[in-house]
Amino acid sequence: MPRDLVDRILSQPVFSDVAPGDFPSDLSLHDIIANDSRVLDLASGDIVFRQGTYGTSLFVVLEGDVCGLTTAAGEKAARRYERPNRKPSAFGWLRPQPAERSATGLRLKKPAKITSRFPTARHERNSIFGEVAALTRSPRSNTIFADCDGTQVLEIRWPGVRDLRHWSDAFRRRIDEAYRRDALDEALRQCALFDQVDPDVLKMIRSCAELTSYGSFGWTHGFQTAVSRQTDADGAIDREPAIVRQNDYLDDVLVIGAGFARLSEKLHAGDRTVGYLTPGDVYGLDCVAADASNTRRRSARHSLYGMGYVDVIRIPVAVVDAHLLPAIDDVGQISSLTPSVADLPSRMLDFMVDSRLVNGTRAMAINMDRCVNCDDCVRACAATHDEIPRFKRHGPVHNRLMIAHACMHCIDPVCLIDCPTEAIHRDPVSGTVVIQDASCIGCGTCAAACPYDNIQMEAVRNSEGAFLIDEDGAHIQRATKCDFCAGRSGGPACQRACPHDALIRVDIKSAENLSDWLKHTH
Amino acid sequence: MRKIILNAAAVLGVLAIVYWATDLYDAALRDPRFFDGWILAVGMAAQLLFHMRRNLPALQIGQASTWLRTHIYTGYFVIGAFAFHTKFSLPDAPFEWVLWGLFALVAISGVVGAFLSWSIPAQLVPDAEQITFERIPALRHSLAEEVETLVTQSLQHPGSRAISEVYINTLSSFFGRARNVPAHLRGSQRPLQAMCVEIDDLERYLEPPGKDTLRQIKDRVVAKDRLDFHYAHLGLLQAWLFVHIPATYCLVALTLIHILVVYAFSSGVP
Repeated sequence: MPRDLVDRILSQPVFSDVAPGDFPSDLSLHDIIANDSRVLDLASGDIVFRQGTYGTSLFVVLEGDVCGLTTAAGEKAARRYERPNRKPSAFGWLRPQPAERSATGLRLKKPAKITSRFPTARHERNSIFGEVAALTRSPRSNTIFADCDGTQVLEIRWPGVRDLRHWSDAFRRRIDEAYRRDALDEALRQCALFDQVDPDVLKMIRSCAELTSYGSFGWTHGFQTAVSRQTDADGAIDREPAIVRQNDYLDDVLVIGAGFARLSEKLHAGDRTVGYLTPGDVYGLDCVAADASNTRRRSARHSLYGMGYVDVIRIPVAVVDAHLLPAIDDVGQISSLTPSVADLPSRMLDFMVDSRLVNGTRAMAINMDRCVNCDDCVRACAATHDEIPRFKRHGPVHNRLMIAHACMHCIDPVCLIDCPTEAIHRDPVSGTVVIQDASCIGCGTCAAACPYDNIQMEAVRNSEGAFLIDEDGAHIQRATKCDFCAGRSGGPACQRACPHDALIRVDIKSAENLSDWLKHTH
Repeated sequence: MRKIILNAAAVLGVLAIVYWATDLYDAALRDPRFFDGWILAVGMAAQLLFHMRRNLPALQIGQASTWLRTHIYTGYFVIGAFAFHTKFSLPDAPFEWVLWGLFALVAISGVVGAFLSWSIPAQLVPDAEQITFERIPALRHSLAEEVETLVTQSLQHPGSRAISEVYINTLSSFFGRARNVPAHLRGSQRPLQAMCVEIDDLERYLEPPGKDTLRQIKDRVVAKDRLDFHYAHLGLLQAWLFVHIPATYCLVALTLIHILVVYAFSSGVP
């Protein structure tokens, strides 16, 4: 990025209170902006990002306006109007290349029609957007597009965001403030409960709701050590912050905004895990609805503990009574939103939750009743990845279920946080976590950050098969992990290669899938 | 279970059709051994495809589990076709005896292997943490070193000399290599019980530090016995393949010779 452009960016109000003196000499504010950001020149309708895609960049509007769709109907309509923003042409090489456009390469055909028919949230000059997905590594919650020609947006890639947050208190405060505002909106939008609520009522609920965070973003530090030392489920629960305790009076109905929460109940002298909550799940509404006539008897049926980092939106019960319950036509919907007790044996659920395996969307589950140790899965993985298998057929075992050390492509992939080159990233569309070999510098940060020990450092070889050695005589390494056979059709080779149906890749959240599979293969 | 019954019924149905077609071929005054012989040969060739599938895992040619199921049920069909081809009788020439013997070896090892693959993993589960066949020697060596260290330390206490005697007489050889494999395959706990009794009997002759050492040694004896259990069963899971696969290659080679010889000496009218 040219120096004058960097100077222009740094003169914007969003950076006004960011002091260059706060940054170390070898990582100046100027360098961060020059190396980890780019300016997107957008025409009206150009899509910055789409709902449901993954990305860890943060955006600042430099010129013009951008709009974000706020309803499911709007998103659906936008899909119909999407077109590539640059048509291929035989004479394209004659024309000068335009400035960088949105990474999506998509444009809404009639943006004015979309903005007139569907509600949108407008981000004006100097406003920040995209920070919720960047900070929580969650999918984008809505589609954002340029509202007028000549719109300029600054995209700061995750390493830049991380460094800016780390060195500048002012920038961190600004981002966190935007996060708390937008996370609340997004959490309410994600929850199906509010779909049928009138926008004015929703606005009122939003004004009364409060976003509370539990735990820290860096929950992975020391997690493995803690798990290895832990002897029982209570040990794990003791380390988790209590959000609600069983039998406490319910002051608020809770909506999970980000992260996970453990649902447990008292059993004799301990706590038994009965389920867990993920973003969009509601806690306490069923109790409030069931005892609508007797407000004194509203007590929590289960305890709720934060796992790692959790964002919780608290909606006061008085607001729920007065506005939310009357607005819900279908009371049956309440029970569908309330997490049911999972269909897994209790101890297995404890195992899944204690080990945070619930984070996995493509975990490798092995049924030890069927596995004959033939290693066909390992051989298949090696055959499809230059003879280097990307997983270890070992891992935590509970009863007859093993969760092997293969990348689980987590809901919250914490391995992404500290990568200096963004070599490890999420595929924007599929959501699988992949490593770009060309960008990996072998620092091992991702391997150290993975709480499940699912990333290994491998010595790099040249085309003749010899190890590459650095100036000090040490092997040059790079991170390797399961890429879920990205780019190959037919699904993961490990699962296809198992002759005994002993291995599947499974989304732990759909515990019933795992339960059915175990029953089926028993 | 329903699936197994349906598949078994399908195999029996196909065999019945082959039997009927062979009969028809015979009724047309042709030599039915050419007909059922080729069906047998095609069935055996189909069996080899599974071996190819396992060795080419990168190819996207269906789930290996579907291939294995097909391999097993085709195997049962091939056994039936072989019985038709030999007219349910024993061979009467040395070369045919060799062919018959090899086929029996391949078929029996296959059926046994399928049974072992189904039954053994479930037996390993109760105490199977992360024990794989390849890691067993390392784990055993580690246990042996721990016991040796304990015994060496016990020599510092004059009242614990009995431990070293037991180590020299029994434990050193027990920890030296896999032991009691036949007993483990039979599911017998007798060798472990005998060793535990011997250790327990020793306890009364020891002073408190020696008793503590003995308890630690006993824990390692139990762990080593568990390793031997896994060694026996995981070894069996691999061993049957060392019979099945070489015998298959021999059978294929001799079958090709058999076909050549049959056509070389045939009258030209099948």
